[in-house]
Amino acid sequence: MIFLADFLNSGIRLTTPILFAAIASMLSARAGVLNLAIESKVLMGAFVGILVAATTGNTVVGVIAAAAAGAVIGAIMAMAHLFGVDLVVLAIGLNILTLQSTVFFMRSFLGGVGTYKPDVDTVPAIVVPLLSDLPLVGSVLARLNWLVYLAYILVGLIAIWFRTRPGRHLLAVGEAPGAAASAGLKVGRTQVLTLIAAGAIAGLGGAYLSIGDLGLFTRNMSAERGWIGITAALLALNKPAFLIPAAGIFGLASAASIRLQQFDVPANLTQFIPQGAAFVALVLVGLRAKSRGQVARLWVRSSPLSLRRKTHRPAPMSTSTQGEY
Amino acid sequence: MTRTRMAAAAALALTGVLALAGCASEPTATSTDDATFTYALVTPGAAGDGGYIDSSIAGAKLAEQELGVTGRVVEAESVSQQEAVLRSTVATHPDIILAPGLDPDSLLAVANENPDQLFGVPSDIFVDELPDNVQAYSINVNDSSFLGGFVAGSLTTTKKVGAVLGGDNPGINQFFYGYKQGVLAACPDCVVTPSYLNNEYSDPSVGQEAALALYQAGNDIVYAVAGLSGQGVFAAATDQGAYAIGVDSNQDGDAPGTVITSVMKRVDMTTFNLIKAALDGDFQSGFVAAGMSDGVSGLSWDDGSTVFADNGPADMVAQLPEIQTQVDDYKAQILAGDLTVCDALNDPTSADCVALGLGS
Repeated sequence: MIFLADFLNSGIRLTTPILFAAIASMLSARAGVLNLAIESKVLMGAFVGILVAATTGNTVVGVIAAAAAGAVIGAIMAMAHLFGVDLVVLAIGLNILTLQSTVFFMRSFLGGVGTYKPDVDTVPAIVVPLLSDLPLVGSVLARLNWLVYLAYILVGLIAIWFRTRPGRHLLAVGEAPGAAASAGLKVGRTQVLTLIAAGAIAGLGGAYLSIGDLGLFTRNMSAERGWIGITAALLALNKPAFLIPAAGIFGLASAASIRLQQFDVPANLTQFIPQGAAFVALVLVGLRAKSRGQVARLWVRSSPLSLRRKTHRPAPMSTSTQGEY
Repeated sequence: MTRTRMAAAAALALTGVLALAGCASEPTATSTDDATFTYALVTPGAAGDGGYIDSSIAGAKLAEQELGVTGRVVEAESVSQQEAVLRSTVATHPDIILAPGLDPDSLLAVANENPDQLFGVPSDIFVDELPDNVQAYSINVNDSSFLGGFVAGSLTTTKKVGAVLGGDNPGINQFFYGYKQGVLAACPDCVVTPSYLNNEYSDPSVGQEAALALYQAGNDIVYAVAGLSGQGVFAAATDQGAYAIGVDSNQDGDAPGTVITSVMKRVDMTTFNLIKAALDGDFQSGFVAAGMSDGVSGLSWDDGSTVFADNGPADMVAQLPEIQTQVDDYKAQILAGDLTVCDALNDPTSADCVALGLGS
């Protein structure tokens, strides 16, 4: 039983950065933007977070700075989106740029070449009164800090927000940008703000990795968590209700691959678990997308507005009204 | 309009070609004209891996200081870049090209095409034969891992020690089975538990979780053989008030008082040796198997590292002199051939390895 509690605890912590990334991906997708630069936002958040925390000696300031750093990358994407840049290509560029620039700054200014390990305390764990003293529940809740709780609470908040007027507007912009625009909604502005917010949330995931969990930064420490977050959001069908279970599958699979080795389960088998989970998830998403044409729609929606407008302009005889706004 | 543009483009292309030709011929002239020995170090990743890439760069810098050679480091970020980077490096005609850990296919292809160019591999290339212009070191770490395991087995109080390993492959298992044999030599009733990561060598978060699982299961010393993921093992050890053993380079200072010692794989020494051999005209093609007896592998203590002795808890530090004596004793036995250590990379079917449960 104590094993199960430790396993859950490990899974919750491994899920946290994936969940932040998944929230960011879901928000962008629901606003009609395919956001593939989440990896770069997580990594930049991790780097800036620990750098600021080490400089100021305050982890809260570090976390805020990480969110701001992610938001800046989100803002770069948003600007490019308005100018009609292909976001998929831009995202690939941003991911590479962030990976190399964090290494560059670490090398040039921080002395550390592969690892930056300042003398900084990690975000302290929250001790829940009464609950933390219980034997098993205490083990599940051990080492969880406020960033962990924030990730899970954020999902609920967004689910509620989607039911408010501005939330509905965001969904409308994503579902049918043309209709939303003709109804007087600011499509561009909504997408810009969403990209910035998604960047900030992904940055929080990075902050959790560096100052929330480890207290150090290493080259490429995000280790594909941004991509896994995108996969999790797809698996959750971009719905808040499924987001925690979907991200949890990846976090728990990762924890299982580590913890099961203590029971003489062959390492080859346990190592397959995270990859296998991702594979099954993508097959499920693919099957569903095939039946509904979701992936194709997502691609069309993510292509820049100005480009689509151009392709429609030379065909005034076209009977299609889709995409005109 | 189009025509002028094309003409301009052609002119530009021509100047480009001329400039390139100028570039390519220049280094040939310098390297033959002045007698300075030059090297080029092509690494399969960015500096800062905390492992063999950093180590080989350190070795090259040492050669610059001690031998007066000059050269440069070229980073090839991915396998797809390596062949192109090697070719462009050959074009600058250094006296020797050092290529630690590169993709063997691209290295051998370029080496075969340029028989007059010397190549040195400071560590681990897994091929059957080498062309006449390639010398390759393979560094065996089983003996030094045995000593690291002996230290862990001597210091454990729970009689349970673990190891976090980057991946389940013969190269990594050479560390683990040597370590396991060493632990059992010091403490026959100890239990040694491996925890394999999913070939994640730059994910300290996963390394931390794996180490936490081991510490929570009662292990008190964990051997971190996982590249940058090993930093997570040190974080978990610090957090749990437990201990760790480092690997590759001297990691004692990464978590002072927590990392007891480091099992070093001296890629810096092999890099230095290769440059020196080529400089002195002693370059010999073929494989060189090197290990503890050649001084290219050993404990950080042998280098005079006293980080743990200065920062560790008093009761453990008090045991160190006695352990050091025993380590020296075992080292002498291994070097004299009286004690053989399981080599999971080169001889996984030996009696030593079978006794440790390898291959079962």
